[in-house]
Amino acid sequence: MRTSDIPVIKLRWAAWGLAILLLAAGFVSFFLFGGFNLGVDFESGLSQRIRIAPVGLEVTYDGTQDVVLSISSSALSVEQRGDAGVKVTPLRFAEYPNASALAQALGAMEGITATAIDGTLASSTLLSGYGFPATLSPTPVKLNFQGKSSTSIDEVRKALDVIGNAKVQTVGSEESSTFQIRFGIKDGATQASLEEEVKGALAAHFGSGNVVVLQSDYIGPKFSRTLLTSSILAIAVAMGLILIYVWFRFRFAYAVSSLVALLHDVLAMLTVITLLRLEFSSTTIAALLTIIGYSLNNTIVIFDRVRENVTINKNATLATQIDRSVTQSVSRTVMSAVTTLLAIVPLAILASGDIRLFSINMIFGLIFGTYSSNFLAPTLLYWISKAQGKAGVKAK
Amino acid sequence: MNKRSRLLIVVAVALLCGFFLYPTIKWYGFVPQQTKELATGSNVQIKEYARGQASRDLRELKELVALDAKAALPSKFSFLKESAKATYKATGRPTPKSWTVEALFSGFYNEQSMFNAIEAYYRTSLINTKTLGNKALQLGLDLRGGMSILLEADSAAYEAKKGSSASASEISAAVRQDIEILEKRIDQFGVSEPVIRLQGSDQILIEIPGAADPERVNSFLRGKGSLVFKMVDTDLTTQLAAYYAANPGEVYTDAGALKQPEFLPAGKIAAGYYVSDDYGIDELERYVVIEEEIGLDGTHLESATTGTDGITGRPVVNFHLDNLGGDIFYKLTSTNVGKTLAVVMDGKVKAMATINEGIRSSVQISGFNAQEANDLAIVLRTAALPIELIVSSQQAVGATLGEDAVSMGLKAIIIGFALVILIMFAYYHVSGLVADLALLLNLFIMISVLSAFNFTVTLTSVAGLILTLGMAVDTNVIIFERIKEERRMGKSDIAAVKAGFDKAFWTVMDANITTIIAALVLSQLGSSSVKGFANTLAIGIVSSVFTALFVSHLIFDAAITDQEGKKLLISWRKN
Repeated sequence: MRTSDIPVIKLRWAAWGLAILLLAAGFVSFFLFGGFNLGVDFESGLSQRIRIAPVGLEVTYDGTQDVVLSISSSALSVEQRGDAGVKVTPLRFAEYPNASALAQALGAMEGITATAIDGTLASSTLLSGYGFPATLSPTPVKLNFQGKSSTSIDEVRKALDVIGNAKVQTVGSEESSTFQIRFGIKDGATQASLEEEVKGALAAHFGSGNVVVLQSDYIGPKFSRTLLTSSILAIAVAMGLILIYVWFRFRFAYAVSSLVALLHDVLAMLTVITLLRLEFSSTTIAALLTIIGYSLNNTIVIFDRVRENVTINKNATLATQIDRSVTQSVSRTVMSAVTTLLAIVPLAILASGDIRLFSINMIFGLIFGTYSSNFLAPTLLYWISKAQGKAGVKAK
Repeated sequence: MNKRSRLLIVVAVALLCGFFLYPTIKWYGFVPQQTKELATGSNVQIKEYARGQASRDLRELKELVALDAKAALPSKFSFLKESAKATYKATGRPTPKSWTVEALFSGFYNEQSMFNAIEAYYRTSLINTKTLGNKALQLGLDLRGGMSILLEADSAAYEAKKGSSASASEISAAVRQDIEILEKRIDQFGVSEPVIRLQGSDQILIEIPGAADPERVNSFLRGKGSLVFKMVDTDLTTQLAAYYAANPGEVYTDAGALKQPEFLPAGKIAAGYYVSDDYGIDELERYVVIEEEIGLDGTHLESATTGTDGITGRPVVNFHLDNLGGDIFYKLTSTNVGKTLAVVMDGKVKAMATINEGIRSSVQISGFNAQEANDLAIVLRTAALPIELIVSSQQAVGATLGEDAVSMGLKAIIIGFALVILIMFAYYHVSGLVADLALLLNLFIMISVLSAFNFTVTLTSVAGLILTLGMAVDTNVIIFERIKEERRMGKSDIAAVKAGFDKAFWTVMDANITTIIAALVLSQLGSSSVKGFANTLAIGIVSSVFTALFVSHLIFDAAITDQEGKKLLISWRKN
């Protein structure tokens, strides 16, 4: 047309060379690192998110009522259930700014004894983990606060040395003292015994009660096997059905080209996952599938254009048709990649855990997907059509 | 189709979505936290709460009438006017013009009927709130904190105990019995209602929102049974029934528990005799006075089965005690021949039987119909599960982590959303705003469909939501680029819009159909977290095709006419 088209076909060797180079790097790193960094849902075991935080308050209750403590972001609520009905007293952090003020207010309630271990800790830093809402009893309930000093990852590793085979990662910033710890399953161990063991080891090192369990996942061996097989089955079935649809709507060459491009996307993402040692979990499967959908979408839009151009202008060669189609779609390709990236990048930066992992996977996937739709799928279509003897004939 | 009928369809869809979204908006926006907590409690807790409130209100009203019978009725009791009016009408008296406390009292036959009216009011309003909550969009455990446990039947241990191999259907039947027992234990568990569900043939999934306390969950699973046998005091029971009938306001404490009357001597307690109603909730039938001292602890129970009496053919419950239990039980029964024995669970009397003779280890209780016998056998067995359960997977999220995840996730979504809206306007001018409108409508439709189907929103479905929003924008981008291209070829605005939508139609369809194939496969075959993602994606694809091909199209058609001065603004540049 007016401006010159992107020479996609001319660049075919370079494009495929680059792709193969990346995949080769993936293969090497896969064997170098000895496989994927499997997440807890694929590798049976216990995974906990813990936070090292000092105990600021100890609360006991001696009486006939049911007293329950719960923590929200703005208040510590005391729920008393007894003969006089249900009474909820919220102790707002704005009014009770620190542990000693909370202790005083709690102590004034009937039957409750509250001891401030460190009265200076700010109420707004109260942590609510495992065990909350807590029912009070004569055995003290411990309330943890975000500490002022931080704990290093090495200390946590040292604490867990007694159990052995632990993987420890820092979560968030260094100061938050939050860690993700993981253990493989041992023979004869159950979820309860494993949790007990971890609790004991941490208590021995950091002092009893000074560890808050924010999250605890346990996956038995049978569960992780079913998850993996069902995921692989899902991907295979989805790809098969897509192949049939594209074959039906376009031609066989289009279907094969788009599927090979998809295969590239999946392999390229797996390469990045091994290279960056990202966790491979069911979230990764979700991201892989999303990218399959996204990249396919891209490829179909371009192929649709190729098909249209071929019917409109029968004189041009397939190579120029492909170059033109990619060029005509380029502003759509760019806009669509940019908008999707804009929606995902904030999640990769701000969100945590699974969503963050998903977003990081997605960012790489978007790049690979866009690359394969524009360079790999069209050139493959060219090769297959040429092999079928249609590249020149069809263009006639 | 003309523009008016297209507009009607769009309005109808929007209204329908608004209807589905209403409970969600009301539940999250207008129901106070405390009411929510009460309403999410079990039916038994709601009942207890209503009874407690009724006792308190009745007392207050009685105080008011004693103080000044002619005083105006406080507005907080005006809900009682309706049922009082009905009584006035039924008895042929004129309804009072001004409502005094006295006038209200004469609108009820007796104290008991007033108590019932107040209780019904509190119970209905909470149950309505509960129904509303069930219709609202629920957050998954990963977002609001809670615990999800997948349990698996320990068939090896079951076979070892039984001494022979067990068939799959046998195991599955035992697992079903386990579920039945676990459901019976729910009431004693806590505030929020856990979900207990059979998964596959030998797995049980339990989800407990809110509390992520493993101790409580373990005690729930072990069901540290409080099953005991106690002796019944028949004389005091008769006396108690007469007392309660005379003082209906004195039956319950303000917490809804049974109030212990003062005339009972030390060592004797009043308890309710409960029968399971049609919904499996224990319904209070009458009151009995039992010994405080435990006759026999349920831990001595080894097994319980139902059968038929060889001679009379009537249903009976058989249970076996261990050696120590047999000794205790023999002593108890032989000294109490002719008296009544009660089976008490969690302070509730579940069954009573008359002792005919001293019994040692093997006990047979008769005098029920088949259903009652079966129920009692379940009660007796609740102390132990027929098949042991092993934890297959367990996930628990503390409330703090859930809260953080939600607030950060929301923030990120809002930022991403705002950026997309801005860039669409920056690139496509006013047409970009049309796309933005379609995007907002898309979000609205998706959330309302999610709540209409009662889906639970988890982290992965949030991811699906974001991806779909990206794809919804993409559909508009495909169309806009096509329109621009057509215009560059020299077409008029109207012709360009028409050609743009027509030519983009199959591109959009092909692209979305392939993606929906992937989404549907995943929603069938994926693991539960992937399913949430796939369902959202599938809903999103359908709604984004609708918003782009139908809604955006309509706006363009309406805005671009032959009239002068109406220009298609699809880019800031000339072309």
